[in-house]
Amino acid sequence: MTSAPPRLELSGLSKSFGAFRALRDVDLTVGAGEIHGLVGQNGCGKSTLVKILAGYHPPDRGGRILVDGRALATPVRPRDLRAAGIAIVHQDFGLVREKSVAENIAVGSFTTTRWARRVDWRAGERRAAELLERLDATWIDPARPVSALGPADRSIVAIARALRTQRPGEGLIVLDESTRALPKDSLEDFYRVLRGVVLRGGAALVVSHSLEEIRRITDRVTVLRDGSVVGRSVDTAGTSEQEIARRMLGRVVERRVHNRRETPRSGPPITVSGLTGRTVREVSMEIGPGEVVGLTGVAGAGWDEVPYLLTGARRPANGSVRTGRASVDLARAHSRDCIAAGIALLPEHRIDDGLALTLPVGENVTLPRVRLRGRPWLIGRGWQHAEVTSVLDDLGVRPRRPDIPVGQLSGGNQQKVMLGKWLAGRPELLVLHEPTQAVDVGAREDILRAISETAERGVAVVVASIQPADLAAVCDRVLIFRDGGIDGEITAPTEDAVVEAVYAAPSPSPRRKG
Amino acid sequence: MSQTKSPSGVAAPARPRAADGLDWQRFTSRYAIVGIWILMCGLYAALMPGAFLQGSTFRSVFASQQALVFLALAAMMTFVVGEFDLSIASALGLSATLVPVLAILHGWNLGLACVVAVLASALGGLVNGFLVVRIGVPALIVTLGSSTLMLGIASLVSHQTTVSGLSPGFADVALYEVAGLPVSFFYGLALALAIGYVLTFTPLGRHMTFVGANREVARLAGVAVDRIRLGAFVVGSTLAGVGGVLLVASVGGYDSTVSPTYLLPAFAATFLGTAVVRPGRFNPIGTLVAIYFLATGILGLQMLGYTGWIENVFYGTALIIAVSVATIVRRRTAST
Repeated sequence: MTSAPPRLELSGLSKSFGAFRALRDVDLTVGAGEIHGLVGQNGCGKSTLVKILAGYHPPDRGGRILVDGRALATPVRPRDLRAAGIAIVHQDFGLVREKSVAENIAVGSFTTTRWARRVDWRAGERRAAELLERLDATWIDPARPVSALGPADRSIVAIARALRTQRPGEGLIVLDESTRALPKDSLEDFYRVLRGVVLRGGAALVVSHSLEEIRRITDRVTVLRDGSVVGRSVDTAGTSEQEIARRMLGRVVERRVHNRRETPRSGPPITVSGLTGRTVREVSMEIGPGEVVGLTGVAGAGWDEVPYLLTGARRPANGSVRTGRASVDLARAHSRDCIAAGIALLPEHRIDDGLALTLPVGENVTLPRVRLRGRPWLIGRGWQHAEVTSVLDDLGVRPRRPDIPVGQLSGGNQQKVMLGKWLAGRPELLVLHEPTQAVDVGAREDILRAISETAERGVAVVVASIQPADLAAVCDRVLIFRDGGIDGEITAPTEDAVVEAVYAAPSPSPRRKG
Repeated sequence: MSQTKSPSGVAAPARPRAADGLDWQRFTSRYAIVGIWILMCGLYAALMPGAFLQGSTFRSVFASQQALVFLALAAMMTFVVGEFDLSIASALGLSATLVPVLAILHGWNLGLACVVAVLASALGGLVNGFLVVRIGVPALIVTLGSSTLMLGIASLVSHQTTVSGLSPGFADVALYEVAGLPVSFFYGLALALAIGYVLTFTPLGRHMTFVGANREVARLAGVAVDRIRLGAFVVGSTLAGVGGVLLVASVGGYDSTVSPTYLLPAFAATFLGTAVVRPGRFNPIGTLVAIYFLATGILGLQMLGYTGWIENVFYGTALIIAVSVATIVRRRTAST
């Protein structure tokens, strides 16, 4: 690198929320003319970092943010940010659909002369055309409303707006998961535009969960895990997706929790057929009683949609599931139909979908069965007490208090309560999505052991997870999803095998769709 | 997620406390209002020696709030399931207007007039529920609109006059004395107990509570969320209608333009009720306590010579304080 200071330099940046340290001593350097990636799992701290840059959060004392060698005052003020030439493009682009391209690009930049609206508007249109030209995107008409544009053009408008305050050859664009909303075929345009900006001396920080994207467009990548940098400015060309994934996920020295049986338990399997949702297409599978099947893949491959389609939480376009108790047409089913068929779901978002945090532990546990086991005029204490006691004891929930609101428990204990809530209904098929998310190490073991014990009692289990360590710990086999279909199966999975399979080059498959 | 912080700044897990300490704390937080009530009575007694502490004072507190009891319980039906209905006071007014209009101006049988009046309120609730639940229109808009609409209909059918002249015998429906209090006091008490029972001990009540606490959790647990939300609107409005019938029975006639004045006290009492008996939850017994607490406050002020404006000032203040207290209580009982 030359002697010029880097475009953006973060040094020793930390952020604590109470006792929780979201970021610790993060260093990150983005040079001029560089596209720099920032990757990590959910909760690794990457969005906290962006929020510090945007001025939402003040960093802890001691950290420094330098732009072109000059320190920014913290907490960051939007005005300073603009003066330093840093622009942030958020996930949803922040465009107003009903307004024109020019208005969207101009918004916020002539608030001071608002009373001279008409003149400014014309100037804004000229400015918009100029910016779009700088991006070689002259096909976009500044006078058209944003709602008339395709997703790719919208992303370009968002970049144009970000460039508004930057002189050519300067500045930094921060893209915060900006490509999430883009269909695959429009990514090329987006990447080309971004590359053009950087070639003229700009710089970009691309925050993304997609390793494929990071590999394709970034020059260097910084990897975060649990708030710390675990890979600093790694040269992207010299590494592989597997390597990044390993750094991102970390190494958990794993004791196998689940003892795989050579001969699966007899009995008819649970049959899923023709499941077609937003991403998945025609997915069929069988899960034997007592079998633990993992579903995984890269983000957006469809595996994370299956748990909800399978349990009535979200309706697929097509698909059915047959258990020993019933056959359910999922395109018409409610959650209660699936529950009646013996299917239980542990959703990923515990706080939004899993538990009512303000209500007591005991009531949360028994909720799905108050109508079934109670009488219409009286729920009855006996069975509730028995259920709650056995859940608290079997899963080791601490504190052992059925009467306090679930929200007062730690994340791991909440997860145990949620697991117990559904296990107490003796399901035939248990479907879990990221069952160990945001729980500590001890609770993680308890949860994985409980999953395994559930399977040993003859329950069919589906675990959808991005965590190779979890899958390796409990699954009998793992299905790898790619582009909405099942692209491979690993029996007796190890963590390495799962990582290899997920981040391997896609196998040529007739199933692939544009 | 924020966690309760101990002084050292370390997140403290909720640890079981000594049982007696916990129970004492729980007791005080549950019945703080009753304590304030007693203090308030003491203050009034000191200010008006001899005049306040009379049987007649308390009789008028407990005998005069029936319409409000029904209305507050009506409001609670929607609050419990996480909705709200601003039109219940108009539903009460519509029903109270329809009874004398149908019975006197149109010569209907009195019983039939009552049934039709309650059904009209129920219909209002059904329309509200349909628009909010099935169509997804914000409850604020729907119930604000239907509130004004029902108010207008009431003044249309009554030709903007107070229709009175109901037979004195009809008043017995509400005013027949039992143990020194009008029978309608006991209707309110019975209704509150019944709703309390349903919410606490039946599957339906449990489902309603979860729909109010987290709709998605309830849906994924197999609860028929939309049916329960719709039902809450219908039952709430129906209760308001019954309240209207009792009101007109005890007064003998009704001026439909006063309906809106009932809304705020009902809301205030419902929210204040969440600080009593079962802190953090809407509960009918707490609501009942809150109603009589507020009524005592008003009556005392009126006896001190403040009239007219005092009700608005008192109930307005009470609503704001009640919701603030409820917010704090809820944050405390459910800190995450």
